[in-house]
Amino acid sequence: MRFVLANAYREYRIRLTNPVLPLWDVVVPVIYLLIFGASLDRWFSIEMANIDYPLFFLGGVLAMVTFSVAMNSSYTFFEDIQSGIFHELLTYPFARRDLMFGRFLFNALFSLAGSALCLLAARYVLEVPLDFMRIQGLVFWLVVGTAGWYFFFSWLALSIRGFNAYHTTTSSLYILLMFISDLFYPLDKLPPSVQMPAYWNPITWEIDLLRHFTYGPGTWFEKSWESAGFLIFAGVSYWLANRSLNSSLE
Amino acid sequence: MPDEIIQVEQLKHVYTRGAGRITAVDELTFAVRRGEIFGLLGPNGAGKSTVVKVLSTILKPSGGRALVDGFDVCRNPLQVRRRLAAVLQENSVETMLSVWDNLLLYGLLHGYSRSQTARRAGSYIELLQLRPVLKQRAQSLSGGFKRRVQVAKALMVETPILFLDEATTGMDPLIKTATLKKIQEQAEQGRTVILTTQLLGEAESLCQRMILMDKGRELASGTLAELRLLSKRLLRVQLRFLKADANALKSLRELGPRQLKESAGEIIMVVSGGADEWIRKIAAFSEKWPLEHFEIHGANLEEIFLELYRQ
Repeated sequence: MRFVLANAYREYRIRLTNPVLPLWDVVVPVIYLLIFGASLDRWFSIEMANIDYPLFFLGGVLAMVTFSVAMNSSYTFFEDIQSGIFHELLTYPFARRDLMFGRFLFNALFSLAGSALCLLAARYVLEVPLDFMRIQGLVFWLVVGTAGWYFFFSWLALSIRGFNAYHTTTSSLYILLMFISDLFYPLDKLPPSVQMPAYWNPITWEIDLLRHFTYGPGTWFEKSWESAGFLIFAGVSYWLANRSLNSSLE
Repeated sequence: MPDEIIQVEQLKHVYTRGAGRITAVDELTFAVRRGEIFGLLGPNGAGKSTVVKVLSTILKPSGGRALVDGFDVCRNPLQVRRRLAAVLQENSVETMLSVWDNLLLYGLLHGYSRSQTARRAGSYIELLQLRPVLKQRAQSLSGGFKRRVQVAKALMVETPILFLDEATTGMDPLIKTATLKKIQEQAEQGRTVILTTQLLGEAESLCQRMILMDKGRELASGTLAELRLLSKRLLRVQLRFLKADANALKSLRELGPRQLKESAGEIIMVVSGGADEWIRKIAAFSEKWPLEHFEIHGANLEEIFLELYRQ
């Protein structure tokens, strides 16, 4: 555990030397929430009976926090490679998974901080009625959500290895995964051709679970299937990232 | 406890670059004894750094096996890593952090507490003269200073094995001398040091045994004396004429030295054979061309390497 904590401390020291990255992780989702939540409210409140758009959108923004924190954190692999420390880190006396879990630990805490800011903005600026009785489930899925995306992007970064190729991939994924999901609109309001891929998008499952723990929509069956789906996605991503980190790194 | 702390048997490593394959290490076999300073020597591309990367579990070998303190680098990489500290060839510093934070993190990531790290780092901060840049971001340091930070990190932790891959590159002579002395001290206290270098003089002064590599293969191995024997008992003859003469140099070449160079009147020849035989030859030669100075001794590592490489 001490090596996981030491790696978390390392991640904290490095991430905070660049204040721009944390800004993107935490402040941008809040701005999304405030701008889109307020401006789209009028459009969608007509279509979405009984739900205010900001309340609907909040789950998406929380997923966006976990997604952004994980994606930006994966860029530190490239900083490590560029500074030459990456290979040295691989000679340190701990299991490679400790390196990943340490970084994840910091990012999970960072995700929770960013999410808390979003929840506060939703509650006190947009006056969204929140169900704080489900906060434990919300925290759980924020942590698991960060884990899933963190391991996924770590695997991508370790597999692609070229900064430009990775940057292009993540920028494309960011747009594809965000828009081909129910982040901005309910699944049944999406164009028919997009509905099926959006249904199989892990971010849709994460958003639905976060929505369930903020205001409670969805059936037990739906949530069980989406929970299982996201946990499998996170597990497979972890396995792939760990395998990449343990394989021959030339 | 076996005497050999590192055993490398038929080690092979092939890099895959697109469709191409480059064999960096080819069927290499050697062993390093506990507490020894062992040199991995050779020109660029000889495969030295690849061997270090395999032994420090960064790379997996394509064939053969390597044991570190009895642990296989593929099967027990964590046990292997617990026994080593490495200064790799590339600059390895946390560029965004200060020099002190670099040392602190290295200590924490090697299982030391803050106070233990501070205590251990102290003498190496002085040795490598890092005090004036302690609060400076590593990003702003010169290559030589970055190297010093790396060496300080590896020296301050207590591991039975230390890998030094071109560790003194870019260091100024005074600090370099002090660092080499400290490495020698640590070896005397039982730490095994694997030194990878192109600076053959450095290896000559430090290493008890060495392996000369070329294109991933062993060219020769042993102590300096053993290498001299392998290289047809190479000797170094240094002489200076009382009066320079173009014919003298020509006649010297006719004696059949393996290498001959002349600089500012000083002639250095690398020759093979017995010392007595060469003393007689030079004595006869000096009757025609009187000498101001004459010296004969064993060839240095660089000369041996060149000879073995030529062979």
